[in-house]
Amino acid sequence: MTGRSTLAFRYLWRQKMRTGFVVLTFTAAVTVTLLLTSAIVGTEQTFIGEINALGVTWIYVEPGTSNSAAIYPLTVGDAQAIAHNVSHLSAVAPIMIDGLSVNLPSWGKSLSDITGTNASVQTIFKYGVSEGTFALDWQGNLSAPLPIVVGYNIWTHNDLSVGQELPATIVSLSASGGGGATQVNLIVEGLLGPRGSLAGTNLDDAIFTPISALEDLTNSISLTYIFVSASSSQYVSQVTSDISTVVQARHQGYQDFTVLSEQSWVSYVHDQLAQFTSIISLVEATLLMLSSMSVFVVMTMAVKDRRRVIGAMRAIGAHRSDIMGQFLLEASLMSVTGIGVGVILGTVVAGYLKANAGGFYSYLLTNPMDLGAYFYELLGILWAVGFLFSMVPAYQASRLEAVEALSSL
Amino acid sequence: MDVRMNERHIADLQDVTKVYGSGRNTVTALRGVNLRIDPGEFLAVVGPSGSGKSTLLHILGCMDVPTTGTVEIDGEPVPRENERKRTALRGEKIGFVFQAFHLLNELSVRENIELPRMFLRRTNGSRLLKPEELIAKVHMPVALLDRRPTEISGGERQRVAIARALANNPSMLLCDEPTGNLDSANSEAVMAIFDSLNRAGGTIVVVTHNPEVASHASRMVTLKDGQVVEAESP
Repeated sequence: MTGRSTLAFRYLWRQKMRTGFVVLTFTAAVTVTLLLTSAIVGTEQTFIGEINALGVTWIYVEPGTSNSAAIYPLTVGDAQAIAHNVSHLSAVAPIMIDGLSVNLPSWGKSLSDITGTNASVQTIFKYGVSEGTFALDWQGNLSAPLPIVVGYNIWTHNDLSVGQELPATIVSLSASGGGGATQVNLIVEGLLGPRGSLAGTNLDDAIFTPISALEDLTNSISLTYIFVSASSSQYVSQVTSDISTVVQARHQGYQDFTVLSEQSWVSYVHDQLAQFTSIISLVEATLLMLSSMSVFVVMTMAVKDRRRVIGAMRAIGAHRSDIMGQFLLEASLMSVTGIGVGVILGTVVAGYLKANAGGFYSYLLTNPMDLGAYFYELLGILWAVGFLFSMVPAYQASRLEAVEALSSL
Repeated sequence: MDVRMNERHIADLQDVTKVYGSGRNTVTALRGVNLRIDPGEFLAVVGPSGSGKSTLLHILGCMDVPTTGTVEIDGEPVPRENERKRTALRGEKIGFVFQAFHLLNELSVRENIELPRMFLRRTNGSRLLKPEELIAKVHMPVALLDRRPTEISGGERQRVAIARALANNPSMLLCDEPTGNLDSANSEAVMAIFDSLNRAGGTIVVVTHNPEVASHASRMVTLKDGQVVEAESP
């Protein structure tokens, strides 16, 4: 028995270019939407999950505000002032991440982003050494060995042990560092236990060194940020306020820094993601419109081309609903194929980026099912829009009178 | 009393008028046509161009409705307003054969023959013939069933179109210039098929300009200016 689907497939196959165009627009819409959405949802889930895992007592200070750059750099002096003058603290960790290239001939590779800090970072980042110490004692002399504490991935992949010395050439890539090369001996002081990712940084790939050494190496006193931990959640608000007062006093009254608590950090991330979501919605709407127009135009052309066929089908007994159903079936087949290919492509691309690109891409969700109801809504909306926009030409086809259609040129 | 009142007709047109357009632009295609077609009849409708032959065929085939008058097909009144029922009547009781064949090139011969059944909501109760049986009825080899219409000759295409018209076991075949696109040899072959179908009891109505084709009919109706001017048995 001849089926409607057989007929639909044959007509779609005959018009490969048109069919391909519609399928392509739906594929593009689904692929792009899936990637963007999985990035946003993945970031929200993972990023905020990682922040929440730090607890609710930490406070973050960074130079500059959302409206202006810093007038005064954030310095170790600021961190010390916070530690001495603000009550109810359990830890203060100044963090300096400067562009240092550390060439290690014994490993045959270079490392970058060595982080200068102190032992308090263990309390805040909630991890610690599995061997050795995190004392980061340094004599203030680059001719003496420079102590480092090494992240889990680094020491396990390179068979490092506590006390091991590593000759290295350190080049500062920052403007303040002047690009000079310094020969130092690194000495492994501590080996960190596994920790995983935090806010886009894999802490297992980190190397920590004393912040004063980093200041000397980079010829800079600018901190990247200061992490502070309140002794209890009930003091977070007060500590946040006190930090502002202390740092502002040190910066000659300028509020040229930002203090964020865990709660305001989460709100900040939500706000940033909401802005992205608005942009993504615009992109989705544009792609949706393109898909809709493609199916509308292609189906209108199909109806125009097949007027005599429609007439013949009506003459041999096809009802209006048969004609309409035929065209809707063809439109649905194109849109469903495009959606299916888009889901596969989106999943494959997300998986590839996550596995190979690292960084922000590591937040991508690689299983569309993880998007939950949104995934099904996306597919449903796309199919429904394709269906709705093909209804007009399909309806026009069904309204053709057999006599009129058969006499078409 | 007309004894034929109690007889069942395949088609019964009473005082059928068809007017196209409105106001000053009206064209009257049929004027008070009365026509009865009996079971097993082979009727030829002839007449000059514009005489209303095609309009009559369209009304007989439920593709169009008269402006006034009534039409019955196989005892069932053709509703003027109910398009769905007219389509159902057409699918169940009418088989169309066109001058231009109107086969679907995307489908095989077998699929073309089966196509009318896809639209059938109900049957008249009789067994529907298989494509192999239908193709045999039009004197074609079964091997052609899997070919596309573009892979067979014009004469073969028209025979496939006849097989398709027979697919739903219709009460009447309506043929619009069925040999108009064929050479004389294929025309004869096609008319021979109509003859054999008619001998087997089939009712056939042929609209034609061709006297050779009309000569196969058991009755001929001549239309002129929308009116039946002559009805005769050739």
